[in-house]
Amino acid sequence: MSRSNRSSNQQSGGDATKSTLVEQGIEWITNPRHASIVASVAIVGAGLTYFAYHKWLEEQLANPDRRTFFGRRAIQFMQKSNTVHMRHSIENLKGVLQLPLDESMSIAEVRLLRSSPGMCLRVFRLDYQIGFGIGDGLQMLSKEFPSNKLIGLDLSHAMVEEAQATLVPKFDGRLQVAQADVCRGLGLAPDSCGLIYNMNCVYFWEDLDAAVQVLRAPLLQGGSCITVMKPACVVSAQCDAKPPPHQHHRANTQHLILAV
Amino acid sequence: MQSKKVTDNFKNRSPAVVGEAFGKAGFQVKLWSQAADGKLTLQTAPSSDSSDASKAAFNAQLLRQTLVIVQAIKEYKE
Repeated sequence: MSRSNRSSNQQSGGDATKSTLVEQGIEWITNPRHASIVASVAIVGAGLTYFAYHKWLEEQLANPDRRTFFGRRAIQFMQKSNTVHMRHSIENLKGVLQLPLDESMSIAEVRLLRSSPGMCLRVFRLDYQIGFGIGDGLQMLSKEFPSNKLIGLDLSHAMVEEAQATLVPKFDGRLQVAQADVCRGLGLAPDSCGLIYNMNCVYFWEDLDAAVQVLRAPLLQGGSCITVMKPACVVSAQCDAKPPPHQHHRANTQHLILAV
Repeated sequence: MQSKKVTDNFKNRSPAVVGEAFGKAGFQVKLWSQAADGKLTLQTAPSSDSSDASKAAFNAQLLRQTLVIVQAIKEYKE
């Protein structure tokens, strides 16, 4: 027998063995006596996949990196879920801070009215946003307060690098970005800024009390820390993601966060 | 951070809890709710000596809002 014939025979023999093995495998799986084993393996596999998917997604929501699949999913989710509410809350900031609703006024030019007797004059030098992520909030803050300098802080090195390359050049020296963890100090000078803004970040702060103390230090007296929260996140988590029908769409989008 | 902790934070960190944490740290706290159309309303929190029922009702009311803004003001000292 020639060498080529022999190798051809060996190959066909190998294929036959493979196809026999596949057939045997299919036969074993479809055998009703093995149904419970097959079902158990499928359920465990699906559970592990679900757990891993949400764990990775959650990590990326806290610390996004656009270069990864889950990072892109997390950023898409942030854009879809947060941007509209963020815009509303930033547009309302002057109302919350009780500043005159005059477009030409900036924080640096106005007096902050206080609820306690009397008024005080505080000159706000800097605002900063924690967890700026994709940078939407920074751009909106910049539009609302065109005379103020901004500092963007984020836990994610990747987002800071991205902002450094794409956002910072657009701000003509008004924006600085840096990596920081709110639970471990921000590295900002005491009494150096008038406004701190963050949205949907509190869930990712390991120690809420420690974070609050860290936020207090760099604020000027009379300055405000604005924390924007979507209560549906809490409600959905407490209700084990079983919302009433009229909240169906919103709760579905929350579930993406909650299940992670 | 571990997944379990973040999941717990979603369950436990309601606007009232976050506001309380800022209050404990010496901030003056104001809670604002924002409707879907962007309309802003200042929410009046029950006083510390109010009954547990009224505190729970306030918490539940906050949880029904589309968006809550926790404003923590660092007190001005002369």
